[in-house]
Amino acid sequence: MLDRKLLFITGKGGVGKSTVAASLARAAVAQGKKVLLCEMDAKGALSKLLQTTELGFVPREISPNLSAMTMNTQDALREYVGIFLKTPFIAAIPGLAGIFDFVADAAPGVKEVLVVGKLCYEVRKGNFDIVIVDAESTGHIVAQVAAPTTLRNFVPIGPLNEQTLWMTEILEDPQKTGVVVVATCEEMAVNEAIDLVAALQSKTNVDTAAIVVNRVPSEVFTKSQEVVFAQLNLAKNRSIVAKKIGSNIDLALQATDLGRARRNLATHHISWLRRGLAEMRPIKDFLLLPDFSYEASDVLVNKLSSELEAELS
Amino acid sequence: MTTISELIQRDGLVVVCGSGGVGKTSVSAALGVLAATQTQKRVLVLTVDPAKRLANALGLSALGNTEVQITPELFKNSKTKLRGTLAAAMIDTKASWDELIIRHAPDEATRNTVLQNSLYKNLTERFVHSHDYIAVERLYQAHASGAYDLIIVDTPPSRNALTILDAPKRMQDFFSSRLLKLLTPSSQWQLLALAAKPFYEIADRLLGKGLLRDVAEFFTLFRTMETGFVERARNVEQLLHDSKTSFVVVTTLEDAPLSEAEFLSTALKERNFITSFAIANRVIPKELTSAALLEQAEVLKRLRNNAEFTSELASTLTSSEAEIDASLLSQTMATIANYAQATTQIIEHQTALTDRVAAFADNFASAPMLETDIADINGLIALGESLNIG
Repeated sequence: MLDRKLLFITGKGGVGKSTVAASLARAAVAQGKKVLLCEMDAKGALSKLLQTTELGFVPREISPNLSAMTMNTQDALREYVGIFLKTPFIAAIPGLAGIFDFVADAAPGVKEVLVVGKLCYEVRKGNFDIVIVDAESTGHIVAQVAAPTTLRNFVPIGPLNEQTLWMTEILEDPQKTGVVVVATCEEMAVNEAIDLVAALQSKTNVDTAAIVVNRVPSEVFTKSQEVVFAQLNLAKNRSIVAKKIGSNIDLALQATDLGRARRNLATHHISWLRRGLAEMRPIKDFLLLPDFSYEASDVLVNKLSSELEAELS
Repeated sequence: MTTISELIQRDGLVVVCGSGGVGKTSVSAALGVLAATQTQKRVLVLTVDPAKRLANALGLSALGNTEVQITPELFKNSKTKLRGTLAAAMIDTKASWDELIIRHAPDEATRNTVLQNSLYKNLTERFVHSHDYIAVERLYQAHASGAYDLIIVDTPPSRNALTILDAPKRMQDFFSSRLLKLLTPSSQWQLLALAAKPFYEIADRLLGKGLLRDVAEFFTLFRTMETGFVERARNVEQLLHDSKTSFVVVTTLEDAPLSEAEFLSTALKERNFITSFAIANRVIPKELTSAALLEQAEVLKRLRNNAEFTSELASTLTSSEAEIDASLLSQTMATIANYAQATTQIIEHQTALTDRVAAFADNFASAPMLETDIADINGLIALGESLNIG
């Protein structure tokens, strides 16, 4: 998936989109690529994860071959006006920002086109090998990637309309663009992922590049060890075991059991996800990432990116 | 210091906020169940997350926009019984918007034109953060109906849950904005209409011919509903600031959700809302202490290498169902030791973060990490009880 030019990382709120986006970016850099990482919501999660200062609209190289930026509709509008209409003075007219906000709130796809247009523009300029987008949560992504088409249907003529064509060419080419849907092993995250893939496939022509299940707890026991654990855990054996090993063995067993339960639940949700996706067009990559959520941010990104590198090579 | 029990004893509203994925919806439902079983109140839980399991836990096949009463029958296998009443509903933005338009439209013609306008659907989806506005509007509607003593609201899954609290204000601002007046000139304002002409020209060049005009037409209709909307937004805002409204911030003991919770709490304070409760969810059970687990891990590591010990224990554990072999027992003991040790790392991490949770609200409660998802009413009862104790 890292051979594409534009990747949108999305998923339910709280599944670790920013973490996965940052880790994918690091993995791409490790493969020798020049990467642009773009945060869509200016919340500052990315700069915190990458341990750098606040990001701006202009891409900044934060480490060798890794540049980052944050999206801003106003700046995207200014750039759009400057580049495509070749009348930069218009952008300086007072009140334009207000009028724009007003129309953009109402007309379908205007804001989205500016934002997606900026990303496609970076792809077209070719300063980077890959643009990785820490996108908004599931609710917005379909509207975003479908925006050029939506707008074309809504505004039949005009400069915005003409500009949407080349964007669509980039977005709808599976060699170039892909959506990465991130989920965790929880009911709602899994359901949202299934619904999202269905919506992407039915409402857009944009390819779903991968499903990433984040924070998968590791397996506690091998199958044969499970049998032993079950015997240790039997009520009738507990007192014998406690006498032989120590009374705190109960706590160690409880801790282990909590881990087993989390793993079992995760496995259940992953198979539910696979079943839900089986009814749809096949998706090339299905990646499981281990649970590093108790690590500090920098360690987390490093560990996840090595994990992704291994998975993707 | 207040307890969760005292929180649900009060009449009014409880607004539950937090980052995505921390269990907000379950906590909201559990608070509702606790209130309806501990008191004789008429309780409503309003949620935005359509979790099927949660609906099932409440005995419903799915949650809809209209409120559904939970039957006492649902509690037949529980020790705890309903003393009050419990209702639940999911906020459906589109349906709620339609209801609003129907309520505020001055006449049938306006109503139908608005509802059939192609811009309308798109508009209600995004302008003035309409999801958020609808959530508070829906809340107000339930409150104003007088049918409930206590309403618990699970806020929208927006990353910045604050937008819901700003939504009524934004709605008022929207109607009073100069731009709206410029774009929707009434007959008395011909001069202003003239002033708007350059805007239209620029917009036509930027966006395409006529788009802005279409938009303006829609808003001209929409403005006929101004009085109703603005008054309503003002009432909603008052309700949020009422002393009977409490804010609860839920988090897990992990870095990212906790930072979000802290940000949320500070921003609430800036808006003169008080976070009355901080709730830490999915906490490792208290009886699991690092000291005990570490000690046990040491013992296990020592004993697993004692061949005499493992073969003796293996034969004790061997039964007709399972043949236990000493080397496999030794491996299993090593895994348990490792796991006990790994759990202490999580405990340390959680303990270090607990102080931060306690710091952003006057009151603190916690709920343990569960071995399964909440799948039935007993799960919700148990979660409510642990919140009450923790």
